[in-house]
Amino acid sequence: MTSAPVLWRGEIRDPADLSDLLRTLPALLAGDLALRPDPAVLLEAADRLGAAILAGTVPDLQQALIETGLSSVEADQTLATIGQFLLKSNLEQKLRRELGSVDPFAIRRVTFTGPVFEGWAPLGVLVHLAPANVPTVGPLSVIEGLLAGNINLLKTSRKSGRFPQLLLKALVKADQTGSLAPFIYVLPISSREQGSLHDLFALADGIAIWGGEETVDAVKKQAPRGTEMIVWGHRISFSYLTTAASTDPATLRGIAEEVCILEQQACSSPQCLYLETSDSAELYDLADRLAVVLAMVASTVPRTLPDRVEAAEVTTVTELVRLEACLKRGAVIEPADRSWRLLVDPEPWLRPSPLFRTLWIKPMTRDQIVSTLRPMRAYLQTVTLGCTRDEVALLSSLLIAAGADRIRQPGMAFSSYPGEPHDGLYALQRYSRRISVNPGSLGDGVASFAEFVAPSAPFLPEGTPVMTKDDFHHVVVDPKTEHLSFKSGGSSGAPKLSVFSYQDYQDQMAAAADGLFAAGLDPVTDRCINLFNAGHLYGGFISFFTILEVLGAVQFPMTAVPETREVAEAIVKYRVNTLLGIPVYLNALFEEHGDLLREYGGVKKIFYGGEHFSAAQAAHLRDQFGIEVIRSAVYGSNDAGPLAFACPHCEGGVHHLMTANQWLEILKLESDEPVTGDEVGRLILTSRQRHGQQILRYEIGDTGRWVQGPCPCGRKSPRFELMGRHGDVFRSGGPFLNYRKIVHLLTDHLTYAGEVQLLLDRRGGREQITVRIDKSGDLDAETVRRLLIDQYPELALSVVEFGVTDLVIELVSSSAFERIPNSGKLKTIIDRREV
Amino acid sequence: MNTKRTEPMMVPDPDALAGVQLLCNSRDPYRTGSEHDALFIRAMQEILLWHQQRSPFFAALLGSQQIDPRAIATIEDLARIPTIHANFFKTHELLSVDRSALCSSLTSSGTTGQKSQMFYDPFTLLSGQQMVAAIFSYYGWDRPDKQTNYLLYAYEPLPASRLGTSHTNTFLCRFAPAARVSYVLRATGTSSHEFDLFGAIRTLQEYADEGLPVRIFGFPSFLYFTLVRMRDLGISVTLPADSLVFLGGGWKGAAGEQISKSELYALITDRLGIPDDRCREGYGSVEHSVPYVECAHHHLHQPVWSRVLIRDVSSLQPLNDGEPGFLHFLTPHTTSVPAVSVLMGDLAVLHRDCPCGLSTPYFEVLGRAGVSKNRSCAVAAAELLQREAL
Repeated sequence: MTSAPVLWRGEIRDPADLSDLLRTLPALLAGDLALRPDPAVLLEAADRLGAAILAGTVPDLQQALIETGLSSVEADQTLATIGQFLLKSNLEQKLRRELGSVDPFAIRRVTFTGPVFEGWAPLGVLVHLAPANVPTVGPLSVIEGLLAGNINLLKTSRKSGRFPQLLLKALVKADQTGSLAPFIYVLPISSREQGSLHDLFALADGIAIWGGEETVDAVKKQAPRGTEMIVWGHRISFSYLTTAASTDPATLRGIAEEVCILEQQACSSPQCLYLETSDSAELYDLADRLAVVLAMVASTVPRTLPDRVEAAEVTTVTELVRLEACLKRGAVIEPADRSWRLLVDPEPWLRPSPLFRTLWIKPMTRDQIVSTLRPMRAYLQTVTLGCTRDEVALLSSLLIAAGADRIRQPGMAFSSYPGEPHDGLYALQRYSRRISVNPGSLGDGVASFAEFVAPSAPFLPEGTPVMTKDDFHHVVVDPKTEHLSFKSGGSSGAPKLSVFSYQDYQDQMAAAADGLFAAGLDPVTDRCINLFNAGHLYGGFISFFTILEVLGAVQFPMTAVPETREVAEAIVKYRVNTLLGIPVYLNALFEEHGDLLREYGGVKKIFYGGEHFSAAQAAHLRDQFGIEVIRSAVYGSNDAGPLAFACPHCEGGVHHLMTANQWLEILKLESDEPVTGDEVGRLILTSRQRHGQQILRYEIGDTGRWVQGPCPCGRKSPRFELMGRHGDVFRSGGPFLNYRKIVHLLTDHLTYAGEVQLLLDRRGGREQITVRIDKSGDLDAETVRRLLIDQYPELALSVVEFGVTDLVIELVSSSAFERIPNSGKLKTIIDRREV
Repeated sequence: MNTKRTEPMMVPDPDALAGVQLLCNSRDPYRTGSEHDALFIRAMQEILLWHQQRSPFFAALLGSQQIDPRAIATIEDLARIPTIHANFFKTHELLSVDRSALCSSLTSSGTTGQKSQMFYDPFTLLSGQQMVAAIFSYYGWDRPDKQTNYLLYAYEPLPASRLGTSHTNTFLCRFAPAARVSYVLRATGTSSHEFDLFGAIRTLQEYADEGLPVRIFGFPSFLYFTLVRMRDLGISVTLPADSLVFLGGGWKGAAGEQISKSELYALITDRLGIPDDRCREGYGSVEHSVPYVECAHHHLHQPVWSRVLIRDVSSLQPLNDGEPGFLHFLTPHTTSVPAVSVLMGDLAVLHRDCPCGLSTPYFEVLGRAGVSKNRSCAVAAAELLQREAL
């Protein structure tokens, strides 16, 4: 066997240097404890390693397991399970189940109605003491320690081989950010080196011990007082059958298999079979029936033979029962080859089996369950329960009252799932602290402390191409995550779907709720009416329904119904003070029922989405109706979900990126280069966590520019200003032109508050831009035309200097504007030049 | 040979147990030969019948393996006698004599906290003591002429002590007249005992000054702790060369700190000046009270009153010399309970050809067999890995 190397801060080092290295450890740890563990980094690295293990491309791991005494088949099986364990989907579920989130260290509000924040924090430095004879326990315990954000020091024995080092080194290597390394140490220190161990324990905030009570007692004596002890001790499991269930062949077969598999070495392996009876004759009958099944099953499961001491234990216990049989108090059923045995004992008290296919058969009536098992309470784990449907609840509760942590059907003792509690506890919680912060009014509008931490970019492989809408619609979605489908895109091409898992949806709505809270929605005071569009596979209404639910806000789920009178009356009647909807609908509402709403005067906040709310419209509402807040509720899309939010310092199209879920790049309009400074470019989105349609560098179709400098709100998420649909940008015989620019000129110079629609045509080689505006705005065509030529130099270039484009102003009634069916959104540019 | 303090005890039934009587009268502890084998077989037949007739349990046990005591006719046949595990006596009262015939019950200080009870009639108890006397005599340790100081690593007797080990150690003080007797595990007055380490060192220093031969009996672990402390403090004494260390009873709760016998003896010689061949250990148990005492080469030889077999840990078949297995003792001397063929909780291996010149086999104890903490942690791995149904 190769001598066990040291893994030191993620790097392989010479074991000869260990004692020198250990002297530097206190200072190293003191520095590294300030590092922030990033679960996303760990999940990516683990996923990559897991996939590589499953593909068999990680060198030496199999050999390292074989060196510890496993056969090559066992080594391969072990690696396959480890590979599965490491997959992102598994670890993510584990994090969500055990710590409630994939970002458990974020200190978050537990309610939006009071400034109470909680979060998980690592214990700090976690020492793992794993058994020397099983090489996989240590590194897996370390991975749990990493999930909980700890710096992990795995003590292995010099005899326990190099598997833990190789596996964890491979994990460090799979981490392309290099940030996992400071969290991982494997130290081959013999238990005899008491001095080194004492020093190690002195540095530990927690010690995870896998082993027997003697080991635990010894460690407790050595460790400083106050060190958190996380003990994973030996547990005992058994089976409990009603007499009716005890005649079911499948039940007996399941028990027989569990007795043979793993030679009962697992804590969940049954060591005793209880029959619900007080009649010993029934006990002997059951033993006879089970013996027949066991004889068949035993030969199909390969044996691992006990060593001498283990065999002696089996014989000792068996002999004692044989002697009892001479007193007519029990029986032994054992085949001539002694490959298994049933020990019948008429006393109910739970006795540990000497294992290796040795099962006690004992009687216990249900009224004896709690009192009989009481002495073993601390050691009970799994009960495989065989009974009828109407007995499950009662018998389970008795067994749980007696101390059992886990109830399964016979034959399912070993079945497990990611994030399952271990011995009655979540492992990750035992490796963590739950912390609470109350910042008082400093926390106003703040949902998570993570908002004040500079975000890091998600890892994107070099050369990841920009994803077009077409690419997006060709992303293959795992049917298991195909939960919610929304209509995608909208204005162009055939209908397509954008697919989210429920988890994606919940995560994104939670982020959007944080954003809306930052924007100023206050669940303590605000009574909200949800006026977004519903139906036709649109996500607007239901998304805001969920967002308001997350916030705990009062909600009137109205949708954008055409009966605006009813809406206005409801607002008044139910004392609504906050409206949520798309600008065109909200403006129509105030337009049509201005008197009613003005008289009410109670609407104070408008949160809009889907379209830009023009400055002129906003000013009009503030002025006429006393609205105090008109702010973007969210910037998002059906394809990518919520992307950004507006804090109170964000005016117009300025937004903060929702960095918890999304990452933004802005690339030049004409090339895939990043923009410089505040140059306008294309918005390119990457979703950090998305299980449905994964979005990597997706060109969402909007343009924008970075807003430089820190935001006065203090949040560290980058700000950008939306500059309109990328489709707003068009060419007509000259330079790039922008629909938004035209709208802004009309608003700013002519206080035009109506809609604007552009029609692009090509006639006999000449281009034509038709600017369609609402005739109720009282503008005349020539004024508009002159303004645009005067104020928009690029347009003047095409129309006047180059003379290739005709500019036509068309005054129409509002019903003449072409709209997108269903959503009712205005088509901003209608390009009729396309073939 | 001195026998005046150990008059032969009479068996409960001189007719039925004449062979047992003869065997137990034997004062030559390591005699061998066919004549002796024949006597041993005869005694075994008698004791098997004795218990078969008096103990329904034992009769059932023999019946379950179709053993007729009269068919045990050769030394090889002994292996066919069913074994009773020593632990069985811990939880069962299996008397073959009337309760009124009992003179003593001893409780052994079990290592795992269980207390083992054994019931003795006068024959069983005193014949066992006579065996010890015979062996002491054989090694020349019976010195009625020598005033001796005793240091007992044993529990200081309480008025109503039933602990077998104290009993044994008090008994061992009879072979040389006591000048002083000091206990190291002192009675506290509150039904418990406390290890008096500094008292032990002081006593050793006083004994060294007094110059009388010293006999140290009892638990090796506490003696070891005393010697280690003496070494740490730089203390050593020189006790007379005819002093004797005779240890027994195992390491009890201190198994984790156990060192090898040779290391311990070297430490004794180093700190107390007692030569290696005067350091001995004994092996015995309440379930099988035949004494096994180390020769000068520190080997535990089988005496005339018993036979030692090693049995396979799985099949319980007898093994050859050199093969490790269960330690199995056979003796005809226990009349009170059917502890005739006792399977011990220790693993051992049998050897022959000891340089000490004794021709009986000797056994080497390898450790406990039935310790219920052999659970491996394959467990842990299995549960950590999110294993789907296997």
